[in-house]
Amino acid sequence: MSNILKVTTPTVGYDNSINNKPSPSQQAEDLSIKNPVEANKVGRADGRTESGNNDGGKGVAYDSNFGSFVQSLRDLPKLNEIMSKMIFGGMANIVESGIGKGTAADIQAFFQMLEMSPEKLNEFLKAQMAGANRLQGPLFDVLRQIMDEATTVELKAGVLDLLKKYNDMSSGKHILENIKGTLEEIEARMFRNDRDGLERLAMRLKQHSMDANAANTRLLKEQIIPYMGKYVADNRELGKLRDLVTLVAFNTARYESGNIDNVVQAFWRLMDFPTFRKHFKGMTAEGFREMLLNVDYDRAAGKNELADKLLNIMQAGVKGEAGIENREAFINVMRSMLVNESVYMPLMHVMLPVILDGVPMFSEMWVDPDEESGNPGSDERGVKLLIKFDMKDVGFFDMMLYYEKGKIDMLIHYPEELSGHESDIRDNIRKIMSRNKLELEYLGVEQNKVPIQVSAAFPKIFERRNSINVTI
Amino acid sequence: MSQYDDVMNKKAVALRYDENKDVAPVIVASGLGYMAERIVEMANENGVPVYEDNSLATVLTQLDLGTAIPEELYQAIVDIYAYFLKYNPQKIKEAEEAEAAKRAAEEAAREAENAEAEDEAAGDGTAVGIGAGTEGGAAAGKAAKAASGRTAKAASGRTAKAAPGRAAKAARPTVAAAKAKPAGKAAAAGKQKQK
Repeated sequence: MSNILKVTTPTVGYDNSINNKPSPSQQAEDLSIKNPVEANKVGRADGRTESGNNDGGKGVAYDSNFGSFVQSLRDLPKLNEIMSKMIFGGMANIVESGIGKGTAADIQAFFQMLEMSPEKLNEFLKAQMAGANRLQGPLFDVLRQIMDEATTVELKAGVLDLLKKYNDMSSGKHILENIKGTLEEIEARMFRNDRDGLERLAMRLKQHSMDANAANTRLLKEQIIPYMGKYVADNRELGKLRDLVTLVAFNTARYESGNIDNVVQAFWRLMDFPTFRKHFKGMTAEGFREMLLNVDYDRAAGKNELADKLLNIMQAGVKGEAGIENREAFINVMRSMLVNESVYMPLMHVMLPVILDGVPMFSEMWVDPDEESGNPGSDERGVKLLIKFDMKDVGFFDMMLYYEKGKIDMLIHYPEELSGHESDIRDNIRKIMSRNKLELEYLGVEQNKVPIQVSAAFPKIFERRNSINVTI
Repeated sequence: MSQYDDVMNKKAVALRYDENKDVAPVIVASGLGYMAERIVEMANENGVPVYEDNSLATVLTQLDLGTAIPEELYQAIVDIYAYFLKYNPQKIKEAEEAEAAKRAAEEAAREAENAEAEDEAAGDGTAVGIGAGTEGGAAAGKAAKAASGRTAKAASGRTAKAAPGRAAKAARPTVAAAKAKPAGKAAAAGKQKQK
């Protein structure tokens, strides 16, 4: 079992991370005039140099994307702070601000849906978990098993290729929405005559469906992208507009890759590998295609009424329908959610806004279902969770769990008000674990002094053990 | 108490968003859930640059994250949430009221039992009286009234009806209190006991 009790924030910066560099905001503030560092060289008025490493002084921070992520992680207000406020107050301030009738009705319906019993919360939690990752279910369990068994790079690459195409296919609607959004942005930057032409072409894009994929791809590749390319060339538009055209081309490639025929082909190619074939005995290409056609991808990705209502409320909030102050809160919610879905955060993130037996509560969870045990020489893996929850009139809790083969290590930080109940908490947690047939190997119950940071609970975020190096 | 007690204090919302400063794109993994995709669309609409990475490395990470989580872990987490609910002042009050209602109901039930026993004793007396006073029912009625200390009606053999009525009356204020604050399971149990 891993030692989850000695959580510390690892020292950052030893792995080429830029965390030890000052943030742009700090640098911006430090504009005091300094003497030139080197007499032979023309320096900047603020003493900064391009490289910043020849004299130990501050360099111009060309932040990496990972640097921006770390910055956001530190600077962004915590999602639970804003959401708890909204849930505890019943979004009263938003309703009072004169939000549209439809959104007010959404808020009312949303709060009705949030009311649930512990039994219903269990279902809700599972639904939220299922909606946090598309690659869940029996098909993907088999593919995971094949990845473990695979001895050749070709098979592993083939499985990943299939998954990539599946991802693109299941996100087809979303990708097309992104393309349409980018086209609108491009139109806004074009001269009128050309804009009208692009608008006419864009209107010919069909609503996304498996059948419409090929026609839409053809239209994008053969007419829309060349039209925009010609505009860029004719008008020497080499700035933002050209970047947007590149983005459309990139998304078109993803959209095309998500064509059902490509997914079926990728699957069928894998049938050449005996390791793969033995898991899909009797499966035909046609059978696989039928299976894909019968999936409701929105539902499979976690679409539900509650999520839609929350998104509608957020949409209205971000647009500023609930006033400027609330708009900023909503934008912060949006950005916090994006940071949690970052490629640098290789964890599942789940939000649980509920009114549990009449008590409003907001909980956030970060889950690594495939965490290394951390014991030297051990290749055992388990599930690690960091759970934060704020219960109205009770307080804010932090919980860390590590589960492995029916055994569990647990650390609970309770709010100050419950300091007289520590032994009661201990006893009841033991009872809960034994009732659920979990063997509690370690239980730490402490008063919450400093909230556990996500990066401290999952040091691999900063160590970048399985994050992706993305360059744009 | 909660970190966020002052829910109506809008100014306390951290306003760190700076449209002009925050221009670095957020790089999210592709193939996320429905909610995340809608958030990405929302961000795009509102000028927050988002790049969706669909590299094989990202797909591999996503595949790992799809590993199934044991069922018992979900239930344990929900049980922990439910356990901490009991520290909510409202719930403490409700539990105390329910406890009080339960105690009152038990008390009332005990009283009713005692009353029933008394009635039975009084009933025996009536029977004896009726049996003994063959000459007049009025005398027997008087004797029964004296024996039970209650009305002649009860004495004339309807004791069973009268006793629960009394018990219910005794329990009424607490039951009403439990009704005012729901979740008075104990009170309901007490009621059943009375019946």
